Amino acid sequence: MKKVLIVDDSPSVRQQVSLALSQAGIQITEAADGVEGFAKVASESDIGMVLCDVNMPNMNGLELLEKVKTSGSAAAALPFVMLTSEGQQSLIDRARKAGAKGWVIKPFRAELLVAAVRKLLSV
Amino acid sequence: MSREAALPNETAPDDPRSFAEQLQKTRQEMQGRVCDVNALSEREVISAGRAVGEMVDVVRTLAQEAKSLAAGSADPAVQRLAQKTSAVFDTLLSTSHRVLSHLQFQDVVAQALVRTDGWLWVLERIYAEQHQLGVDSVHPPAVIEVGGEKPLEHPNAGEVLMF
Repeated sequence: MKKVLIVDDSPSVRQQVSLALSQAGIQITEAADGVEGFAKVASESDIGMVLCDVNMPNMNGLELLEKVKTSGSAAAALPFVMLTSEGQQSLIDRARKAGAKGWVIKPFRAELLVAAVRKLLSV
Repeated sequence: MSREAALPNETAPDDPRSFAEQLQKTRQEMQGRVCDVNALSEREVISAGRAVGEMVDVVRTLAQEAKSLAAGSADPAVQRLAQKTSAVFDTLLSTSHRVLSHLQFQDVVAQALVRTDGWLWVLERIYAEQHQLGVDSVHPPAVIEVGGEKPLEHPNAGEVLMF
């Protein structure tokens, strides 16, 4: 099964998402910001989707999404779901336009998040 | 730095530059405290999350062992025990999901605390601009949020919006 890349600058959020997914038998890998996230999607071929925060230092989640989707690499096909405390329609529209598959406003509900991830990973 | 040293005097100095320096010093002190509080609460929440994960893992192992035992036994008592252990695991897993949702309060609080630093940064810049002290010299905020202000609680929180 492909892994889920969790990109969030908060270690506690990464742990909470990781616990929710790993308890459902889903493998995960982590990155602390957009720069690290981009390096991971470029170098790790076993990533099947990305769960990505928006507000992060160095490179925010929307910038990461846009960079990956326009990279022209195989990673451009990866489904992205934005997991954020942001609910502004303009940001949601920007993510949708850039090619994101979904948007979740924190705090997430584990069972709903796991269901969405299963759907996108086709497991 | 002591509390007295960090706070501006009760009577603001006549010199705008001195006052701006005091404001800056106070905000930097506050920024440090906010970061300390956020780091402490994050460590505690991570410990709690780890404990929840360990508990789920232990009961999962127990439920799997009980299931294996029941598969090789016709004893009704063993069958009942396996069923009950499985039910306990399901309940614990569901409870752990709820706990994970609650633990996310820490991230919201951390963002709100950092946001106060951003508000004071704006005020400092306004003051510096009004007194022609140079806005570029104002100490930067800890975080600049994409999308600016947002409510602490969102009515659609937790929902998964698929495009």
